[in-house]
Formats: sequence, C-alpha cells, structure tokens
Amino acid sequence: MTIPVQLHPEAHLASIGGEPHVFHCHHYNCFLQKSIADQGALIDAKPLLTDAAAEVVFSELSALGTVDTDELFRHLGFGVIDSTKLAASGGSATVKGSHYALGWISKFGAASEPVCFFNAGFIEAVARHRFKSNFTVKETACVASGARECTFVVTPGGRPSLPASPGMGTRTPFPPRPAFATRTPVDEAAIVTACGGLPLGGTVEGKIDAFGVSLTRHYANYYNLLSYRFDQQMESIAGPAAATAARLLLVEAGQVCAFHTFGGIMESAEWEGLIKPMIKTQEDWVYGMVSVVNALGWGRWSVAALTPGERLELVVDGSYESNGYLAAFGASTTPRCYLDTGATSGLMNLIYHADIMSRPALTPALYEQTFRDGRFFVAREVECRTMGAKACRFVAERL
Amino acid sequence: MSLVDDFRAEHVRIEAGLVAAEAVSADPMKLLAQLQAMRADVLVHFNKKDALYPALSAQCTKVADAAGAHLTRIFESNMTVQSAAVKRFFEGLENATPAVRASSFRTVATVIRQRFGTEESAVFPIYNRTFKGEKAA
Ligand SMILES: [Zn+2]
Ligand SMILES: [Zn+2]
Repeated sequence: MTIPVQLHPEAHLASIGGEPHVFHCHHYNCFLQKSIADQGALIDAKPLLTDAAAEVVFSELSALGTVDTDELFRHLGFGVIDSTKLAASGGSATVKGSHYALGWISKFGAASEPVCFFNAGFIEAVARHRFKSNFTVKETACVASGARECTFVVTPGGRPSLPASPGMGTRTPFPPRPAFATRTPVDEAAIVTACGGLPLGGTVEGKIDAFGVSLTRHYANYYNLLSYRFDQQMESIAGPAAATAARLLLVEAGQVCAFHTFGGIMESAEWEGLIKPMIKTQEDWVYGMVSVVNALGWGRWSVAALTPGERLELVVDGSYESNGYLAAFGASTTPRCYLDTGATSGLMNLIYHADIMSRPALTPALYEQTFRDGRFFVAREVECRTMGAKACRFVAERL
Repeated sequence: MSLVDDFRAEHVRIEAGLVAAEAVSADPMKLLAQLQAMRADVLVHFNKKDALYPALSAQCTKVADAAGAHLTRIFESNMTVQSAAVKRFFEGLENATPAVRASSFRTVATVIRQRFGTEESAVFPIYNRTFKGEKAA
C-alpha cells in the first residue's frame, strides 16, 4: 500500500493521518537526542524520548485506521521493522538498519547502551493500535551498541491512555509575504515543485538518502513534545537556570541541523542541477536555501531583509514549532522556535562565514570554526507566534 | 561584597557604556572613542567571567551540587564562545572599518545584554547557593 502523504502547499506543510511531517537528517535527530539524553543526571530523559513517539504515532495510526505500519516506518526513513511477532500478550519486534542507530554510530561512534528510543515509541504505538491495549517497550539489543539488529521487547501494561497529540496544531492565516522575499531571480515555486517530485520516500531498506545526508520524514510533534517537555522538566526539576540551559542546547541543535542539512543540500547534486543555475549572487544562495526549506514542511520562510554579509531578517509563517507549541502548551512568555533560531544563524554562517560556495567538507572541525571563530553570526527570535505575534521573526547578525 | 555583587555592578557600568556608545553610533569617530573608553573595563570583566565558570563548576562538585555542576558545564561552553567573540571585537577596534565596527557593535551589544540577563537569572543563583557562607577562591 502507499502511504497517504497529504501536502498542504498553501501552508508549506505535509501530513499523514493528521500528523504534520517534516524532513530532518540524522545529524539533527541524533544530536537532539543526545542533548536530551545527556541530561540524565537531572531528568528522566529516556521516557521523554520514547513517550512522545508513542503519542504522535498512535494518534496517526488511529486516524489512518488500517495501515501497514512496517511500510509506514520504512517510508519515513527509519529502517526496516518486523512487527509480525507482536501479540496481544506482548512479544518482540526488530529493526534492521535503524536510522537512529546508524546515525548515532556515524556521529558519535559505538554506544554503550541502546539508542533507538523513537523506535521503541513507534512499536509501542503499533502494539496499542493493533491490540487495543496498553504496552511498554524496551530496546534490549541495538546496532549502535554492537548488535546485528535492534530488538525491542514488548510487555503488556504501561500508561492506561496516551495524551492527545497536538495534531496539525494552532494554525492562523498567513499575512502577505514581505517585499524582500521575491527580490531574487531564484524561482521558489519551481524549486518547491521540483523538490516535491524528488523520490523522498524510504527505499526497501527504509532509507532516504538525499542531499548527502540520511533523511527522515519525521513527526513534527515528536520534536515539539520532546523539546518543550525537556524544557519544562529541566525547569521543574532544576529551576529557571536549567530551562535557560535547555534552550541553549535546543538552539545549538538547530545550528547543527543547519550546518549539516543546509550544508549538505547546498553541496548536493540536486542543488547543482536545480538551484545553482538560477543563482547570480551570493545573496541568491540565501534565497535558494530558503526556497528548499519551503519544501521541507517547516512552514513558510521569507527573507524580510538581507544586508549582504552582515544581517538577515527572516519571517516564518506557521513554523511547525509554533503550531505545535500553541496547541499543546498555549501562549508563551518567551520565544519558542529553537530550531528556526539555530537554523537562521546556521544559514548565514554557511553562506557568509564558512564559504559553502567552495564546497568545504562539513566536518566537526569546520563546525567549530564556523560557529566559534572569527566574525560569526548569532541569531535571535525577536517575535514569536507563541507570544502573540502574527509570524515568527528571526534576526541573524554578525559579531 | 561577593563576586556576584561585583559582577552585577560591572553589568550596570558596562550597560551604561553600551547606551553611551549607542547614542553616538552614527558618528564613527565618537563611537570608536566611546568603545575605546570602555575597552579595558569590558576585557577585564570578560576575563574574570572566563575564570568564573571553571571555578563554579569545581565548587558545585565540591559541595555535591550535581545539578549545578551539570548546568554550569552547559553554560560554560556557550559563554566561552561569546566571550571570545566579544573580546575579539574590542581588541580589534582599530583594525575594523567604520562600517563593520558599527554593525558589529550592534550585535555585540545584543550578545552582551543577553548574556548578562542569562547570568543574572540563571548562573548567579547557582553561584550564590554553592558559595553560601564561603568566599570564592
Ligand atoms: Zn537500536
Ligand atoms: Zn516562533
């Protein structure tokens, strides 16, 4: 069966079964997970990583009704799952080529314990959906820690019910785009259409290899629930200082994402063939990348002002972070779009500081150099929908 | 006065310097003069801050404040990057072109203010609770 991906071109979103899906690469997925898991001394990080997955996947499966869950997992780029040994009494499931396990090894080397928390949540949701009962899932062997495949043991019991997912979130009509958004020969509509035509469903091995990275078509609300609960738990357990620290980590994850995903995209064959021919100036690289982002399901990005080499003002309508935050947590007194904040500085640093045009190798050493040395860019979210603004607005400026 | 009280007083002084610089930012010579006037103060302050984080981390470990030690490490890596950039800006004032100096100054001012805000709300409380009744080394 085919997975019913629904595109919402007017909102720059994509959804399956009422759950928004966004493209993100293994660098972001694994870095974000590690940033949270590393705080295990302060918070109970592992349930956080698994519970959010169970909730969003369960919501999607409930909306879809009958769906081949193994096919769904593969289509989204998480690997190849075998859930045939699941039974009402529990059982086990395996994953071959787990995105999280392989991504972890490639970024951090071998792990001392299993790392596929998302997969555990996915399997929990599958079991709950299939047998209309409660289960808990634990990964007992993981490719990241040396096993041949990842194994998950499924036990009856656990949370009696799962909280509702924020679904498509709180969406509001988009205001007109700023005039600056189209001051470029880069044809955004053509790029979005072309990206929509790329084969971005998982292969038979459950992989989406594109733009030089390993992609997933992930659950936007997984990131949302994970990030905001992390933030909340840090605050409730260790005070406002911990919430501030959590936010620094989440913005850093956004920078890591931009460096690898945007960097990978701007060095890819797809970029060379599709976008580079439209580019006349260095500023067009900014517009080109913004156009590609507008095909990733992250909401609608617009360049609102750009001073070459010095400053970028970016407006994001319907960011998936603000949609999810507003629906799940209500209004906020602080900006909440951490990924987009890190991505804004990341974009400017790649183009005006790391000289991405010369196709440097996107190594950890270059990351350090790009975000730590010389006159690098820093970004902040100056207006956020979660605080009542019509759109989220980010400013990246050079130090 | 504790070290944190000293830092708070320095924050006020540096903020006043930033406001004075903003008031003359349209005039390249006056801006340069104001930034030069506050340079020594800023460099001393940021050097002291660079020493604060390892000391705070050690103190958290000494008093078995695991949460404090953990958070201090997260802040330290972020603050070190900022410190280096702010110091680079002030040390290189005379080498920058007036346009670069003016635009970088706006960013530096934002970074300094955000950092002071974070320290006053998040870092100093850790300092106060771990150095309670003691003097910092
Ligand atoms: Zn695994
Ligand atoms: Zn926002």
